[in-house]
Amino acid sequence: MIPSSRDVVLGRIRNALGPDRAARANAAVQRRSDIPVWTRPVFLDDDTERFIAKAEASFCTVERLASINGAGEAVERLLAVRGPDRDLSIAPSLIKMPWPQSWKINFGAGRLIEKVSITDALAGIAETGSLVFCSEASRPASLNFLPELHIAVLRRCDIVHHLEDIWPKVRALPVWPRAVNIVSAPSRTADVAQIVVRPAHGPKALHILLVEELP
Amino acid sequence: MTAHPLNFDRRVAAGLGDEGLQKSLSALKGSFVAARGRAVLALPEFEALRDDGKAIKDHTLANLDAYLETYEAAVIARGGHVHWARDAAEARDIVRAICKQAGARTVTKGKSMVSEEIELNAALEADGLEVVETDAGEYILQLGREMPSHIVMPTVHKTTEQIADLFQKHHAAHGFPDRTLDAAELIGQVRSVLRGKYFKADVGITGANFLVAETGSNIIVTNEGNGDLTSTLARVHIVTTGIEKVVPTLEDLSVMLRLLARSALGSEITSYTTLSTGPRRPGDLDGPEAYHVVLIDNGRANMLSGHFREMLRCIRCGACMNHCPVYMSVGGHAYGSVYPGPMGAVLTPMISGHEAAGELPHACTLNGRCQSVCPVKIPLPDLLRRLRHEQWEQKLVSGTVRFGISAWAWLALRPRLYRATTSLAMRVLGRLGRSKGAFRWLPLASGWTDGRDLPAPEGLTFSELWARRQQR
Repeated sequence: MIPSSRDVVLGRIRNALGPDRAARANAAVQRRSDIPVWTRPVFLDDDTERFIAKAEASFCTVERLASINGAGEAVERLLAVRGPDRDLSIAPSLIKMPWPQSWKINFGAGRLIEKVSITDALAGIAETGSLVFCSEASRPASLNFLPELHIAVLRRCDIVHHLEDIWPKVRALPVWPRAVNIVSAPSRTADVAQIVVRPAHGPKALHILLVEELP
Repeated sequence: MTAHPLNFDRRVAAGLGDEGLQKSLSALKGSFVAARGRAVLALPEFEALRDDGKAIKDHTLANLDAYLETYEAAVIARGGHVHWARDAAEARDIVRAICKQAGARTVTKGKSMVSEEIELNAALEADGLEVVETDAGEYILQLGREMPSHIVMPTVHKTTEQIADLFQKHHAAHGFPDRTLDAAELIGQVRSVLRGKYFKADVGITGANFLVAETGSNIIVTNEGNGDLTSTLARVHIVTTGIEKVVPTLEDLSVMLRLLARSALGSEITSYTTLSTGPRRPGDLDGPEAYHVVLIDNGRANMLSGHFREMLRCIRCGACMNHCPVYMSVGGHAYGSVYPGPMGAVLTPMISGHEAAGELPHACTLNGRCQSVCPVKIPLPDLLRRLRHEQWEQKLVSGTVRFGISAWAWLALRPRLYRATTSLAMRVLGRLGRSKGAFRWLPLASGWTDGRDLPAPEGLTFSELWARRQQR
């Protein structure tokens, strides 16, 4: 019988690593429950302050709101410079929020022409000022990448200290998401003569609505 | 991987004489090298993180069969498919078969060095597929039919003028007839031309910066967002990756991410870090219907035994080439391989064979900077020295070089004769060069003196000076 490529490749690896296959399998299982504590950056700043400072340093804009009920007005202020057109895509997870009646809203996946989208983040990371989005039926990942202006809603209590602190939150979801998008800045490239250009393929601007509470 | 080391000398000369390239390379020093220095200074824990990163990779490589099986099981559990490829040809055939099965006509691609390694584009194009690179740099190279010259900044050798000419030629059909030298406008054209392709794509191919065994995820980091649009909007997502990319858990991944962006770009983190795991879930409004991973060996498993295992820790950050005086002088194309610089000089012979690597292990001054900046502490100079040794053993070193080294070794093993010869040579050269203090030309050494002057010796050898010092 001709061995499968899987057998051949694993065979080569086992030849190199030696005969103690069971010990290696055991080591890999053991590691899952026995994760070493690796070095983490130490910082003492307040997580909210740090998150805002880091996000702003990465060319994001941050606006603090007492409640999600103020989001409609905040977005209106933001869009005032863009003319009267209000054709937005909003994640279905935010469908029950009090959005202005006059808006034309696509509660669905991202479209070919996508000016503005609003999505909600699972968490923020104080260490880097990053947002974490997990895809699911009511949270299409494409809305995080297609618009010119991406507006992200983040609850202040969802800001965690370190990058590692998001994993328990993701693991706690009912289904492991197809996409976990950690977004730290608007899209950029330096592929033409090392000149930094914003945007490349993703959003030109990332505006974060940092809300004290969601209903 | 086709390596073309045979014309190394000629390409080095071309690189050194290319004004545009030399300008870009010095800009690289001012931008990315300086940014990395600042990022490392800003994180007192960086050295400890390097030790952690090394430990994570060493542990995973020492148990690689177990972690690959764990990873495979996790991918399958989340509805994905895992394919194993012995070599480049098999990897290409697997991807071609998936494209055929999907009835694909258009393929979008995120940046994947492994796909360059297996020369995937040519194979897919031969099957009649429209293949579109979406990373702005890779897209530019695809238009120009060129190889990347850097693993992180593939277009580092191209000037704005050259890109403007390319775009004027290719983008007129897309409504951009005018030549522009504005970087933002050039990138705007790329965005506009490619936006429709993401939606049209039947298959989206990306690489993987890391694989996580615990969850069966592949991770890509980008600043552009192109990889994410590729993997989210195509009907089928294929990941091409080397078998060495796996790490055990998400906590391990976190350490590697801290090292990668700082080492590659001097950033704390890239704009986008995405974990993709399997196809779209029931009810999802976007994401691929099918998710495939092609795990590629292509010389890697053999590196596990012996001295070159350490090279498998490489996370492809490019810091070694940014800090290499040879790379920074001759540019990436001189190496004739998709992997240039110090990491490429070690990896190319592992993938393409010693004979194919030719002069690459010799394109090194053994100054050690690559090792000192490597985020996973790969002893690159030691590995390059070992490759030189192996080439010597396998009689792959050219006759002239062999003769020269043998002659020197013969002399060096006879201390009295060695001292007499060198002492005579120093005195003669010292006297001849006394008036000007340096030689602009020496017989048989024009290759050296063409580019610089040789300072004239002071008249005494090191041994003589040392002996004198000891007497005092």
